[in-house]
Parts: sequence; C-alpha cells; structure tokens
Amino acid sequence: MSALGHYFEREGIATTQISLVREHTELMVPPRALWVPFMLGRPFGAPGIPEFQRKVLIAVLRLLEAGQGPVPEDFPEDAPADGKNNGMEGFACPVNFAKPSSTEHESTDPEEVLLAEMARLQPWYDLAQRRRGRTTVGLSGIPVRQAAQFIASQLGNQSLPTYDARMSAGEALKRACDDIKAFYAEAVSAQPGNLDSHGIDQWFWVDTQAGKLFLQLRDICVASPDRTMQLLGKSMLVPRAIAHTIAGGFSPRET
Amino acid sequence: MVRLADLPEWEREHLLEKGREAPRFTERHWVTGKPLKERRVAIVTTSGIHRRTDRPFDFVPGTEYRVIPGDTASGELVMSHASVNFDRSGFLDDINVFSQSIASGNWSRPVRWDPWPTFTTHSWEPPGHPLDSRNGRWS
Repeated sequence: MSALGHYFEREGIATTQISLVREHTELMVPPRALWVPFMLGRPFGAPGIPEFQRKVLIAVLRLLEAGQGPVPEDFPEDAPADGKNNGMEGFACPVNFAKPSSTEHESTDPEEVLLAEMARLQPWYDLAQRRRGRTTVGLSGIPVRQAAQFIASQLGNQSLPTYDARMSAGEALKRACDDIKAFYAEAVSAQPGNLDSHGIDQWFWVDTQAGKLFLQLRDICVASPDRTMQLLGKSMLVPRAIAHTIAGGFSPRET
Repeated sequence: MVRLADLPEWEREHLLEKGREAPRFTERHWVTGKPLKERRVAIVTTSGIHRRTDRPFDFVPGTEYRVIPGDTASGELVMSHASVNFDRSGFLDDINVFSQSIASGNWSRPVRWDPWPTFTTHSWEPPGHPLDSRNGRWS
C-alpha cells in the first residue's frame, strides 16, 4: 500500500492508508499511514465488531486533515476478540458428529477419500451458507465436487485435463485448492467450537484428509517440470506456519 | 500486524527480507484538499478481493487491478490473493474487516464513496497513467 500511496499522490490524489507491517512503512515513507497491530488479513481489526472497525476507519481518514507530512501514526488499541458467533443461533444442529466413514479410513484413492470427507462436511457448509447468506467458494468457477476431483486426479496416475485453458496449470490447481479450503473453512466455522483463525488452519492441515492430500500435492507440484506448478508447491499451497511446524518444510520465498 | 518482536524468527526474517526488497522513494508528494466531509473517497485494497464474475488475479502479483462498484453485494465478493499466509477467516465472517462500510452501509457517510479499485499484493511497479479502464492493468 505504501508504494500505491506514492503513485496516487504523484498523480494529484490525496491518500491515507492502513499499514499492517510497520517496518515496511517506515522504509517506504508513504504520505500518511496508520499502523495497526492487527493480524495480516484484518486491517480493520476484528470481524463482526463494526464499532471498532469504524474507529479504525475514522482514525485513518483523520490523517487527511494533517497540515504537513509525511504522517506516520500508530493506532493505540489492539484488536478485540472476534465478534462472530458460531452460527448455531436459530438453527437446529444439522447432523450428528459422525465419525469418518470406513471409506475415509480404508481407501487409498484420493478422490474417494476427499469426496467422502466433503460429504460429511456438506451439512455444515450448507448451514454456514444459510447463516451468512453468502459463500467464498467459487474462484475456480466449477462445482466444488469437480474441483475436488480435479485436485485428486493430480495425486493419481492420470491427471484430469484442466477445467479452464486460459489459466496456467498452477493457477488452475491453485483456484481449485482455494475453493476446497474455503469449503472446509466455512463448514468448520458452523460447527460448535468457534475455532479462531489459527484453529481453523490447525484443523485443516492436521486433522483432515484434505490437509494430508494437500501436503502430498505440494511435493508433486515442487517436482513438476511446469514452472507454475513449482511456484504453487513452493509457496502458494502450504502456509509458512504449517511448513515450519507439521510439514517439515522448506523456506520458500513467498508473499 | 502483530509486532515483529512477537513473531517466530523465521517469520520475522521473512518480513524483514520483504522490506529489503521494497522500493525506496525520494520524492515526497503531499496532496491536500477540501475539508474531509466534502471529499470523495475511494478505498484501494491489496487484498485481492473482486467480484465473482471478474477474472481472478494473476498468479504472480503485478499491476493489474479490478474495480468494485459501491453497490456490489458482499455475497458477490471473492478473494484470489495468491498468498496463503494471512488470515481469511475474517473475510469469511465479515467483509468489513477489509473494507469497513462499503458492504454494510452502516457508516454515516460524511464523504462520497467512489468505486473501489482492488489489487493483489505488492503492486510496486509505478504506473504510467492513472486508472483508465474498469478492469485491467495500469497502462
């Protein structure tokens, strides 16, 4: 954002910004910046707490009233805990806590394993969608079941042809993986337990069959002759925090 | 984000390395304007959010952008940011964690909000001209 601030001001447009990495902002010296001590991905602090979000918004807009700059300012408060609920209010529990099916335990076929797990999560995903009235699944543009089949085929002997020839191999696989991860995150967010961001990551990468398959997929991507697949495997599939803990990973250069 | 001192060493070093790669700016532009309540405002984000009907952002961050009209419903927004290293549960729960007021309309609007350009990470390359199309690249 700091670079964009410079470019816009050069074109005659006043800017103010939220900074999430203070050290980067100090180096790039944008005209106006409000540093906030919130996690990456949450520039307004916490979901579901509009009063706090508005406080941040007002603080960053107020920087436009400064008489001279550059203006670096620190937001004085840490983010409150999420204001979200677990989605259970007003809804009956859609399913029992079914244990993984025998298919998930016994099958070695990635497609069978993935689809069986997703079928078990489907009622929770449906509940989450009803509660929010929206879903973040859909980047690939194909049904989530087809996305799962496409991913699973990469782990087998014969990969399915791409579902969108306009994308590179890595991009197509990335979009399908993003959809599966969104499906899982939305499903688990509707379950009792109210997992936070860290908890959702740990659940996906440690406790689910999908997470285990994605770790295998990473290795396949890294070994691929396709550069976009290599890029995906090295830095855009497994989070750094997971790579440094459960995945025994590498230190890729990534965003 | 959380203070670097509170992060594991590998994460701290990664972010410091990104800072070493960042461009430096010697010019100090300072644009002023009307009183805040009289201004038109657009939110620019590097979160990689766009409408479901837009083409997802390219794999490698660059200078492309998407524009989100102010009347876009929150259910129409998806995120194709390539990074897997930031929280997405906030976006899942509440779009306003990225763009307070645009989707919810619960801000009293002292200013006029314009359509909302959105980028993905590290749009560091300087543009030659201002935005000149609704969805595309800097030209």
